[in-house]
Amino acid sequence: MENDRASQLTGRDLARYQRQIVLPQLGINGQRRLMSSRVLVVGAGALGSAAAAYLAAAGVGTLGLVDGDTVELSNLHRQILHDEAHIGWSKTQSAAHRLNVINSDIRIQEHDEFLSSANALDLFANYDLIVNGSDNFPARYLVNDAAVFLKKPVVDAAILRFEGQLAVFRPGLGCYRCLFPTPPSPGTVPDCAEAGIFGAVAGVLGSMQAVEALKVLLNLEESPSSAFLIYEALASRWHRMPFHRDPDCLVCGDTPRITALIDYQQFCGLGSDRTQATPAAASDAFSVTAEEAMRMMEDPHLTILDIRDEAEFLKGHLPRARQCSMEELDAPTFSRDMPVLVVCAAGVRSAYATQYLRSRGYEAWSLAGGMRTWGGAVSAVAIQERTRR
Amino acid sequence: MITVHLPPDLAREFGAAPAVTLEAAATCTDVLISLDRRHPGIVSWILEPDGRFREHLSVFVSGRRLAPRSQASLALARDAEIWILRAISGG
Repeated sequence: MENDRASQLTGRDLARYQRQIVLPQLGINGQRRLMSSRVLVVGAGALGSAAAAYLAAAGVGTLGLVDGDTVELSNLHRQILHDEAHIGWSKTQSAAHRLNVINSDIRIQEHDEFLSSANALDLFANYDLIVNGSDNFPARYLVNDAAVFLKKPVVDAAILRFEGQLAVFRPGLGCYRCLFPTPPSPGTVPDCAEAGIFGAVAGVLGSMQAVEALKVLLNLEESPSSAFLIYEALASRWHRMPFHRDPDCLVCGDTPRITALIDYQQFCGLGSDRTQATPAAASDAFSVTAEEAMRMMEDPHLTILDIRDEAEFLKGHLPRARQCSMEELDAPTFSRDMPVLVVCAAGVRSAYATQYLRSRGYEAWSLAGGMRTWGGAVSAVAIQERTRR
Repeated sequence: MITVHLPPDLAREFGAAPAVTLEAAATCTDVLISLDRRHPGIVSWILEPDGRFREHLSVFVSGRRLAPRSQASLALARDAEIWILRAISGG
């Protein structure tokens, strides 16, 4: 940690931070510690906005922001550092502008670029702690691995719909991969663009990240054991799940097998494109829209598999579709030389099945959103077929 | 009774509640079989064909984290709570 102006608090510092300096757990020494700390916030989005605002207000001396995105109108319901006047600005510039208004006595470092395997280690090396507010799985595994290699603590959170997840990963006490060794198959877990996010949930989780980050910086943790926290906004409930380092973890285990940064796009099943994944790219892997599916269906050789159960299938299905259980995919009777379109109710099961078929050499595609997106078109087909029977 | 907490997306896909209460059973496998009877097909998304939990899931039984890809055949207390968690990525 740096120790420049923080060695001597000014009268302005004492006035600004008086309400937290008075806390016996913090005091003058704690404030000095915060003012000499360096925190990197990955992602200046919804989580990053809430976390960075509180870290800046608390007087964290150097606050880094890394994000290569720009501000859009659709960000504003949850990304509280940005506003209408900043649409089109880089997110780091917009966030830095607002953070400077909150606290002009701290240093804001803008890193207007996406985090990648090429820059992560250099960036992380300059900070004491990482707050992870990234919005895609490749970045989450990249943040984890870089932090493990450099022995930096990470305060991690993720949000979706009315749900939040949070964990503090301290060196030697378990990492993200100890909890989730592999990412879900592409398209099986929707992102906020697809599934939505209740904006204030981001505020809750981002604020919790700031609390946990400040506790780590100040050594305020009552017991530094690892725990995974789950927030259910609709039920107004938190759940705390203790966990330990996995001795078999590929990165932080007893005999790690990953010892350098890798291609995280490829690891997450998104091809080997080294550019930052966008939410759309993550959810669209091997999936097609209803319009694209209709064009595919012009090919008479296309195999259409409906992997819902028979009762669901009989309520309505695509023309030429055949009902196929997951078990049947282990011994397929259809050709590997022809494309396959996989369909289910909402696109979750078909995404799993598509991934499975692709692992076995099929050119498989999942109908994004499933039959729910097919709507009136398929209802008409179902009615026609029932009439014929 | 045993409560199984499901990933919300998976529950929605099969029309299940996010937390399903089932009769007590000797093993986790037995409970999941009951779950599958109620929501046919759901367990194929939770277990591999060899009876292990899928690797991308993080499973906690009565507050204890199972090792990744654990067999589901472990014994259960009568009031066990099973959490089947998957990662989310929104930020």
